[in-house]
Amino acid sequence: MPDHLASTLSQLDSLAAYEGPWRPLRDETPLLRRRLAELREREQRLDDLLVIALVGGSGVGKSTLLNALAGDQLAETSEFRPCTAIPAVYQPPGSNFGLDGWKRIHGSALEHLVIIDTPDSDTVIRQHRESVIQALTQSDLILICGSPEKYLDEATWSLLRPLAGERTMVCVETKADLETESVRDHWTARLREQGLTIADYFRVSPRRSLDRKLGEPEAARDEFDFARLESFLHEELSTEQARRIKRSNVSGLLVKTLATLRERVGARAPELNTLQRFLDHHDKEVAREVYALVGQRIFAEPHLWNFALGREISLRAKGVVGTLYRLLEAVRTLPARVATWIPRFGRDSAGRQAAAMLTEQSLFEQNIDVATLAIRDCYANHQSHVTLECAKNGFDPLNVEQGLAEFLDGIQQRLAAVLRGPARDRVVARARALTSWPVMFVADIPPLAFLGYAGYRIVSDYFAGTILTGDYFLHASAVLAIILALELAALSISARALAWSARRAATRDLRTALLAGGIAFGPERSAVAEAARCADVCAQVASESKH
Amino acid sequence: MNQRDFEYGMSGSVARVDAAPRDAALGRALSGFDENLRRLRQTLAADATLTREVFEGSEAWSNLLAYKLVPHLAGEGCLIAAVTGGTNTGKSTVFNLLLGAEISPILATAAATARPVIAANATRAKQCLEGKLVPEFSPSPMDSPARVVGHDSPPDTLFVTTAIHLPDRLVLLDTPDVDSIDTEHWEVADAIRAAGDVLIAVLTGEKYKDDRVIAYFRQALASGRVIVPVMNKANPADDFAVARKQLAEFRELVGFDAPCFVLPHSFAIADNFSRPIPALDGEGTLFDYLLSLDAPAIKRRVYRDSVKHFAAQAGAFLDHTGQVRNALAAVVDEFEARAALAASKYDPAPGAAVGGLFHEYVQSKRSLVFRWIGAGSRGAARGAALVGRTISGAFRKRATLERRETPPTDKDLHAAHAKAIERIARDLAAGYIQTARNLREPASHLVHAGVTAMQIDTAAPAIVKQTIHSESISEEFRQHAYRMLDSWWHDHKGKRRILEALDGILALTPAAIAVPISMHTAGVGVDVAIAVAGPMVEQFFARVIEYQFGDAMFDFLSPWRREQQQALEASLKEHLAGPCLTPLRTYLGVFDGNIMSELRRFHESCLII
Repeated sequence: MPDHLASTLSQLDSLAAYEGPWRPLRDETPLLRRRLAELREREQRLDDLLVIALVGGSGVGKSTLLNALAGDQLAETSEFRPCTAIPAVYQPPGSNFGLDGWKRIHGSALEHLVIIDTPDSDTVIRQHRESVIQALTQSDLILICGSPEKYLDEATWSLLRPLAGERTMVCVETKADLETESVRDHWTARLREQGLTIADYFRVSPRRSLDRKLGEPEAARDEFDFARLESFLHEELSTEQARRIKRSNVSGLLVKTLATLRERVGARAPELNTLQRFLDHHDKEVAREVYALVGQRIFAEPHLWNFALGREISLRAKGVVGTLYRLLEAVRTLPARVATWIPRFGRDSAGRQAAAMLTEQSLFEQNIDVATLAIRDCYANHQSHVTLECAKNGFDPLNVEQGLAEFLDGIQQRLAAVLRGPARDRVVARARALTSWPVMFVADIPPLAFLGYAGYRIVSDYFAGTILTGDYFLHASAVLAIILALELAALSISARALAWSARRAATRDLRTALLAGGIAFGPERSAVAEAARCADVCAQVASESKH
Repeated sequence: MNQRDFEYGMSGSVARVDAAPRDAALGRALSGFDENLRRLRQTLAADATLTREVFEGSEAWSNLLAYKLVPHLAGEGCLIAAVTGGTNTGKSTVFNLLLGAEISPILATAAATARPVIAANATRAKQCLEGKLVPEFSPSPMDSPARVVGHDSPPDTLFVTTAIHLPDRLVLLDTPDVDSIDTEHWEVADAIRAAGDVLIAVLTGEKYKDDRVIAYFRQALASGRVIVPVMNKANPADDFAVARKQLAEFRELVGFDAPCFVLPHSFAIADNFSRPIPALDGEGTLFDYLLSLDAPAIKRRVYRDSVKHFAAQAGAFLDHTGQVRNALAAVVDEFEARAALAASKYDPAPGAAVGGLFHEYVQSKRSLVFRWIGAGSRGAARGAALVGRTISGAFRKRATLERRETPPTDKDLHAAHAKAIERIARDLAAGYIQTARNLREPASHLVHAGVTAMQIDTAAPAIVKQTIHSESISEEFRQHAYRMLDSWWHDHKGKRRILEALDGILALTPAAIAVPISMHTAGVGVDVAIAVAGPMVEQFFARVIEYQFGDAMFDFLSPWRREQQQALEASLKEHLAGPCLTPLRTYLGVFDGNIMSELRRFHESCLII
């Protein structure tokens, strides 16, 4: 088998195996599978004997022609219709061609050919038609037999039409006599009209030729093209020629198969590309709307970020002011922590869970349930657009539930990834910056300086002999408290400012993550991509075969 | 010949007198049936698939009706002998031999005769040209033989030629073939041959057992025709032994017995058309045999059997049409059921708290004083609630780290509803497209055409507009609920009094207790506190009671929901199912319409007669 044919066939195999939801292709696969099987079988039989089928209406003289070719009364002929009931295979000794129940005749008149004498295609016995179809399927070359009376009968033509291009066909006008020369033009013209190509045309009178061969006395009558037909079968149909005929049958079938595929499947590739773009568009739109919804909720809550950043700061805060800040933070987050102890009080909130993720608490291990009604609604809206468009393009219903589940899962994954990854990093980085050693040191300087100064006053006044009054301690404490309060306020304000900037930056991260595409309509996108790939293969194989 | 003419005239009139009243009734039924059948065919003509589905296999008997039974009633009956057979068997040759001259052109190639030729004597030919003899064809004088074999003239052309020696009661027809690849010929041949009383079956050794040929003659026999087989190109050896056997087989297969004729094979036939066609057994020629046939008896028999045959076939046709109709109706039902199912998925939210609405309503029904009391106590309760909510909200906010979703505005609500409805419409449309793809013929292509024409982008807004009547859904719901409450208010006097008085009783009772106590003790104390706390407590209980009634108000809500769903369903049917089913409905209308009922009526009266 030539390489290019093998590769074409394997590509077609992949198409024939398609069982997806795209109807235009799935409707083609049964026919494609049948044709592939036939192509393979024919390709394997290139070196076998050439199989010729004699086909024609009842009584045109198919059996007589066979007898004349063999030069013997092999097949039964009769005036009464129908005569041949089962296909008879005339073949060289040693070969054993034919289906079960067929009659096998061995002879050596035509040693490299197998000739099938088929039953009539048009009599009242309908089973005969079936066996004619079988015989035609098995054949490589069809000798269409017609008499002047019977060459335009629908019964025979209806058998030939489906095989146009797949078999080499030759016309044999039996019962030729001087009067019927006009039949040739009429017959060939009508065949051409119906798209059947004829390789050759013979006018013969098999009865006379048979009589001559059997040595009948009045043998010297005009036998028309019989000698040419014999030489055509004997010599022209050499092994090489037979291979060529078979090869041309194979390529005829292949071209037909590919043309069908191109017309019914390949031609729809542009539609599928449009559909893919449509899906991508809606995928983006859904992501954008979901971003707006998620951004409005979790990411629009300063508390969450204050909570997270406060926690990080209080984990790292050092020094006097830092310690005070930790105490303050503990008091401030008390309600939130109390809430986690009480069931059904804010525990299931997506924000709480986000906060937990952001602060790497193991308290909430389950994923965030972001599937609010609004998100489901938004998805369902776009889903209906997508479903309609897919239906218009010939897709069977796809698994919408699975698509939604994948989508929600996708959002949660991405959201969690942002919260655990870049968002947390930003929060931690800011907390680190705020609680870095120099900052904490600078923050500690004023109260410590004041304490130092106050201590110095106490000590120096003591040695100077002045005992400081209680008022002094009261005032010093007040000043220290004011300093500390101002410091804590400054720290809080900067923590809030940092939380705000972390939130802004993380929102951008979320936007990037959600709008990266490929989040919604998973089943639809994969089905369309698969169909588009198949359609492309169809178009490509068909265009390659043209060359 | 004159003698025979006379006899024919006599017996014909006798036959007519016998059967006159019955014939007249039958005639009305037949021509009524024919007329309605033609109307049905015309109505369905626009759709080839449906026409095929409905009329498949009806050609034989509908031709019988149109070309035989109805013309017979016109009283122009004469024995029509049609020359029939497969392609290139020599029909035209036999026809010419019967006429004694080359009237119909003979070609060596197959499927030559494309248009029928009728030969009759001058009187009949004139009738024929006037369209009285074979009224369904448009007659045309045969000016040139070439037109018979050409395809330029319209398919219903009938060429008329005059043959002086034919008697008044016999006309001859030459017909196209029934088995060549020119299927157009089949129709012409089938139609014209239905008009024949006697069919001259031209056979050859090759074609006497062909499927189509046998099938055709069986059908002809079933409708009472006389078949006269002629074996053409027969081998005269052994006293036509081969032809004899072939003819016997043919007669056995078709199932009749009649004298046969043979035409020996001869190349010289075209030179001399005056030769007779001899009978296979015994004396006589085909022409003499045709003349000897008892025309009135045959016509009567043919007529009777034709009517029987027709009645049985027409019955089967009507049943078949009924099945087609049911198949179409099933599709309509399925599409409408889908629309109903889709509409039931619509769950309209009113956007207004039901309990609150009820309170509002009760409040509006209260008298001025009670309304003030109600409003005052409600204002006090609201103020208290606001303070409480602010405090708890601050706590909750920190605890939940999340804002509550704000209640939607009217505009949001409208947009959400519009989106939900459009979504339902699109999902339904997708369902329709997928269903249409899985349908079977004859509905499939009709629905497919409708589905392709469906404009979902324009239909969806129209559906929204039809379902949502006003801009404000809350307002719409409010009005609807008020209407429902009005009737409830009207029906339940007792409950309504309690509700009306509720504020007053609960607000004034503590005051009524407090005032005497404070007058009695002449001081301000617990009693005044009770009087102030009274409205608060009252409001609490009033709200509890009203909300409880409000829950029961879901009964008031459901009619609104049902109405909305019904509006949506109607609208879906109008804008989506409608366009999808328009082509199908058109034809369903035909099947349900008066053409079919007329056909049934005429068929029944045929059966009765």
